[in-house]
Amino acid sequence: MKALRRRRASENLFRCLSVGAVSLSIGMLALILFSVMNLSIRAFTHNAIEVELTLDGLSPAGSRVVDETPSNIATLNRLIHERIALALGRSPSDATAAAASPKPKLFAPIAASDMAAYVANRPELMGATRSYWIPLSSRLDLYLKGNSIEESIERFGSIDEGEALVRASDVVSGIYTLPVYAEFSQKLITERPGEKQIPKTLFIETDNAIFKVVDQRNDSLDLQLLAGVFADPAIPLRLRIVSRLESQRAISDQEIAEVNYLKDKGFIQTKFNSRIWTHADSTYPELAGVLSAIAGSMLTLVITALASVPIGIMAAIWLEELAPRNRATDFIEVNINNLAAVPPIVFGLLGAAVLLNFLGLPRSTPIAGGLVLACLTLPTVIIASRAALRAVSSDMRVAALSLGASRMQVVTDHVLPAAAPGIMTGVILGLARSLGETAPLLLIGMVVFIGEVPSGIADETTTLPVLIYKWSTGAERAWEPMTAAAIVILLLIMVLINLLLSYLRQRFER
Amino acid sequence: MEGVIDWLMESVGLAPLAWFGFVFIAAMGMASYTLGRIRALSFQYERLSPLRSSPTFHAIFLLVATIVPMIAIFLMLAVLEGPITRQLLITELPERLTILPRVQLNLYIETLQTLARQPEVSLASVFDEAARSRLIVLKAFVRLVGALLACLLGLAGFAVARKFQSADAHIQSYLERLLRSLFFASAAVAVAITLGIVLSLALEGLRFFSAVSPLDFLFGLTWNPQNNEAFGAVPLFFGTLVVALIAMTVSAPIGILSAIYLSEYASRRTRQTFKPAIEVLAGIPTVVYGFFAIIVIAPPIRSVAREVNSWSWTPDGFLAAQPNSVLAAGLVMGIMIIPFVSSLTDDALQAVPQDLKNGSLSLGSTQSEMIRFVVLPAAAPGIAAALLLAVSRAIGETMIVVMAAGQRAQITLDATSDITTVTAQIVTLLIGDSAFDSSKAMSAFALGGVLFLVTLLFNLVALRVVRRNGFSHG
Repeated sequence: MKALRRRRASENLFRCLSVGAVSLSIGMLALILFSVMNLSIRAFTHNAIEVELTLDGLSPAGSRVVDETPSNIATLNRLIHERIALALGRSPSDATAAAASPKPKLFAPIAASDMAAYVANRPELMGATRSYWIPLSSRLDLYLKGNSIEESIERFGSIDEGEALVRASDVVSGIYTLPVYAEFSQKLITERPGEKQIPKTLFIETDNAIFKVVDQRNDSLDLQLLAGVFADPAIPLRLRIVSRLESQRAISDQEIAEVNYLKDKGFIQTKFNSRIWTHADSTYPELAGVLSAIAGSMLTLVITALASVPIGIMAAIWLEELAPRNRATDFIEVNINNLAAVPPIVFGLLGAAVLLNFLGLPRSTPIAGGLVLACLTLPTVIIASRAALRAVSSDMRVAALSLGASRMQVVTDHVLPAAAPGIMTGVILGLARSLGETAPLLLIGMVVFIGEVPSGIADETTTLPVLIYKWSTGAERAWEPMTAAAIVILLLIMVLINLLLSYLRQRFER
Repeated sequence: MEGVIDWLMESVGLAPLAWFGFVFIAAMGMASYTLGRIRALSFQYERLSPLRSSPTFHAIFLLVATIVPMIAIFLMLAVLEGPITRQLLITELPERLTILPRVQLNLYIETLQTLARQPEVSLASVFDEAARSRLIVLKAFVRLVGALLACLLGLAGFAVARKFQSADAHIQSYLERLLRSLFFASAAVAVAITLGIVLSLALEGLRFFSAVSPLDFLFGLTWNPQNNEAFGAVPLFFGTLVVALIAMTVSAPIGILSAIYLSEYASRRTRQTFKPAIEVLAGIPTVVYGFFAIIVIAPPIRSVAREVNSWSWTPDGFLAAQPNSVLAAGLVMGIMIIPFVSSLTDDALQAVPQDLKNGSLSLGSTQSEMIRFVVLPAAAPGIAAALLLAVSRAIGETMIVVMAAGQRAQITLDATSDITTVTAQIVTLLIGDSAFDSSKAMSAFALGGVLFLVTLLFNLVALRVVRRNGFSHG
């Protein structure tokens, strides 16, 4: 009886272990997908500034002439800075002055290059007033999404109600003094129990202005106006407590104030980040997109398919249908099986030595990348096609031969059509795998920065997995969500391929 | 008239070569196909009985004979077009440019060639503009000469093939023989690829070993390729081994147990749901695993290591607690390899005869006893092969270690330190290099050679184990 109980316990343990192993595998899959998707959500939306621009001072030839593009972008930058300064409540003359030496940078210096290209072909836009959306700099974008700096907001409605809080006579060199009750000031100074002693920066926000608390006394606060128009800080006030001092974070106090002010006023809005789909790579995370990498991946895939599919199928036909059974054929078979298990990076070395150095193909191009991946995919295609050919019933071959067909006719007219769905499945699976391949492409230089969509197979480009690698090494934190977003796009493409595959399979099996 | 020729030359120079070639090949091909067919039909009318081979075969035969040489010429043109136009242009450039250093001159012409593909971009300098249009015209000239050559060769092929045409010709068997050799050539391509790998690794590796002694490479303990001096690869082998070991520690039990559950315990329906789900893990690109390792796995490992360091009884800096760690890379690689182990093990388990299982159960063993004492021993060779293939996979895996394991070549047992591997070093050595003239770049090929040999050994042994024991997978 005891023995029986022990055996039953061990049975249960074993079963639990095996169930646990499966759940762990599935759990890991779920964790990978969840963590990547969760991170990517931050990249699929972004904050953008709306500016209403009256275009003038642009060279009408626009970006057609190479040399004039930078000056047009500079002009646009000046216009945008001027509009933002106006939105921040500066006087027009101040705004013009501010635009001449813009500081802080709310957006990337080349953010307007798109717009420059857009207006280049549309002279009719000159002098017209339209509103444009400029993507916010990625640091500030992350800040607004609440991902980079700890901060809390408290609302106050009861400080010295009714009294004029700031007296004009107190204004000395842009510093305003706000008299407050001692308890309030005390409250700001004393740390709440249990909180770590991290120095903080305090902002006082009203409907029309944002001040920074530069000094703090028992009965008054010294405020510096950072954004908006000076007015008595009327109640209700908001107190923004930002952890760390200015010198310890990537975002200055001025930027925090400006961004929050513009957001309150509705100039900055969270929008769907369409750039990620429609633009090429960029050195600025907020401007970057995956379009060039997708185009590069597709071109590479086309080369891979053109090179590996016909050769792979023909080789499979030879081995499965025509080859004599001898040592040479055995050798080829063993060879192919081993080639299928050679690490991908070795194919990269092959590409670097033979394709680039020996044959002199251009580096970083779809033609070189596609050929390397074709070598990598070829064994997969051959093995899958052989399996499909083997699955064709030999009755068909015998019947065709007995009716007088030649060996070749048996293959081309009967066996191949019957095996086509299986071959197609294997081929698409092999190609889908090559779509996610990264390491060999690194060795043939596909990890260069390319800011344009490739137009041909001999253009320098990158592919989606390589772009993912490149973005993941980016120093700025904003690259993290961008990388996750690129991964989601890559996985989406692969899911689409697999859906297509199962659709085709169902169709052909009927 | 002049204008028309200029326009023609310009459009030829600007057109993509593929289209330009396609036009000629298609025209000649259609002509030869039609002529071949007409001739075959005329034989048929003369004889008033069916030909030995059908007219379609005649037509295809002539088509092939015509366009194959043409395609060859255009492929050559694609490679040689750039260099030839460059030489032609250099002979025409003024002396102030031709006396420039070679590198500068090449750079200038390369810029021109890039700009010649973008006619919409206008250039600031009048001279550059003129040089660009001249380059386009020269390109068109080279292309027209090439096209003429292709057409002549095509005609020659057509003429030769036409000689073979007759009412009794075995055109079909010629074609079949042609097709057959094409099929054979395709199979030979796989061998050629292996040969290419072996040759390129061996040649570059030998060049490396002429500068660095193989003994120093295989047994040296310091790896510092930056100054082209220390090429002792032992730290890299060690790193590769450690990562593979961690990966196998994760993937072997999980993979084998998963396979046991799916193969022995799970109902048909559960199996059909979970088996593909686990195999999805194999379909995820490795770069995604690398990212997952950096973002999700490495930070907690680092904070645990720091926590351990802060304990009173551990010495300061007991664990390295690096942002990249061999543990993170190994664990994630283990997850990646689970499906390889589980699907190959599953095949091995499925191949165990049902009679054995029934016999064991009928003698009163529980299911787990049946699995442990009957199924697993029977499937052992298949499982061993699965593990060998998984190790080979782990050794050759690149992206995860490049992204998550680090760059420091060191021998340490501390799993929270960063460490580099053979594959990670290959990428690091070659990622920015285009010319392989330094020992640094060539050492990548030596490393690749070692990697190739080791994985080959594992694969051969695995295949042998499987073959000898009569189980097959795939």
